[in-house]
Amino acid sequence: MYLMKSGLRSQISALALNVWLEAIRDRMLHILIGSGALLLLSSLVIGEMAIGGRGRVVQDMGLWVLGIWGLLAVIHLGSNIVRREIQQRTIYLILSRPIARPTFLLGKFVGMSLVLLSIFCVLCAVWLALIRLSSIPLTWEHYWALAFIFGEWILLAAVSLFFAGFTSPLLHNFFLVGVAFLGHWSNDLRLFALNADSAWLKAGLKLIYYALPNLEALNFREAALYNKAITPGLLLEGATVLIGWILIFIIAANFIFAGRKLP
Amino acid sequence: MALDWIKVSFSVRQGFWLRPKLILEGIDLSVPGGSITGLVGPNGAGKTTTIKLGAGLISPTSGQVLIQGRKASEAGAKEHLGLLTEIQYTYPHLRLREWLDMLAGLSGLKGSGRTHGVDHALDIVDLRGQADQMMGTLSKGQIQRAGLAQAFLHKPSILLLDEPMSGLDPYWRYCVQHILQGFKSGGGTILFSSHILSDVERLCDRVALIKKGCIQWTGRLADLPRETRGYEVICRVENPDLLKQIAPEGKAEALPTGEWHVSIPVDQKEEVLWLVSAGKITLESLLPIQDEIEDVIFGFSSDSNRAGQRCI
Repeated sequence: MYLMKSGLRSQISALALNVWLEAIRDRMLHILIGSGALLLLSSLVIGEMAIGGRGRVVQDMGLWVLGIWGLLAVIHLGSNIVRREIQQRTIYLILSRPIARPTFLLGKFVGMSLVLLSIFCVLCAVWLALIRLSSIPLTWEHYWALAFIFGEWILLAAVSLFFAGFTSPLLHNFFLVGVAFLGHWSNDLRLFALNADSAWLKAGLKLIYYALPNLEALNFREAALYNKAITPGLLLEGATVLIGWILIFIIAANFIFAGRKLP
Repeated sequence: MALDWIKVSFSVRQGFWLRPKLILEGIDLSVPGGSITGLVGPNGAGKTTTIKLGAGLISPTSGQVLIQGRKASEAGAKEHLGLLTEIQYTYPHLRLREWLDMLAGLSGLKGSGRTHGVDHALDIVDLRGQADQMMGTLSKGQIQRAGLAQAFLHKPSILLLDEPMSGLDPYWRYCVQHILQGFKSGGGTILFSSHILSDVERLCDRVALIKKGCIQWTGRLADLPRETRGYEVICRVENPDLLKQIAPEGKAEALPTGEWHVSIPVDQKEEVLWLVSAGKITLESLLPIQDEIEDVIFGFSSDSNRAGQRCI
């Protein structure tokens, strides 16, 4: 049992390292990180011109950039993560080894998470440096907001892996962006559903509300910005939404990939 | 048996209506342990599909493929399997060592065993000097050798090789033949497909002829009905006119060493031996001229087709 577990670990880490090594040598990713860092730096300049003051803009813009850049990174990494392996047939030499398909997918997911963690660390370091430069006091709410932004990145990576198993890169990107945006409008969708007159519209909106992850449960940016206390209940709800949806999407991705035929 | 294809059929769906197209039909093939079996056939015959089924990459539409008695699709069955694909599908942004290290990890190698496995595989194909090179910068022959290295990484007991000599220069073709023979003498089993029949003839104990998705014939090469069309004689003779006697239609050719070379029909062999025993000629060599392996194999395969075997 121990040997089996350690063999699995070795397989997952080998795949994850491969994804990470390939990604860190990818010029597009360098451009993405560079542009994110530049945009964060530009918040200093914009902050000087803004009415709300530099501190507010540095925080607001920083958290916004961290959110959006995660989506962009997942779009870039995820659209080809499975497809390229199948199209370029590199998957043959992987699956001809004693490796189960779920392990392959898990390795890809861990690798993608490692790449996202690297990007997040760089952007986060830039943002924290700007916060210090602007003499903004950091609170626990800031750290929780950052942690859940990264959690959202990982959830989007799981969503991406699910769509990458059966769609083209274009559709993958479309669905991923759809999930990200509708996920953030989730609370509004519920309100619309409650107020809608048509039974069909009510049912449709409810279906979307329950079928998509409620990404607003992971959004503590406002609390960080206005220094509002985050209750343990909210954190628990966020963590449950996060872990639950990650598991759902990974299991669904495995289910689809298990039945996928190789060319 | 190390590998078994039992009544295996495989079809793909294609076109707008996803109509099934049969690629292999009812293949029965067994590869005994410790042997080299050559899979021979024209393009599109189904060689690569047969190998993919053997590696468990695709599942048969009907029938079953077994590796040492276990279903090929089971991850555990592939522990002792090495695969070399016809085209090497690599990651151009990875270094050769990184690629091999990843594949070693996937084969379950860990720690120093993994490093040693990678170094050993690199040594087999003499690529230690290129280990830190990006794979995108390797030549075609080096990529092919890298492919062979990854197949040997985890010391498998069964190798499935799809056109292993493709892209190799004559020196490396010779080396790979030695590597494969060494693998076999260590108890390894090999199934390989090839267009180069001289390689098949040199390496294989058994051959499976595949055409249009059907196995036409399997057996030892020696069992193929190969006709002797004549003999090639090299001899020394005082009176060259004697050579006209044994080769009325053949042209005797004087060699720089003072010997004569002449091709004789089958029925003149006795005459030559009589002349030798009578001391009229000194025989240096007498070699049968047999049908070319290509003529035998492809002639045989078209004969079986004509015999009415149902094929795709």
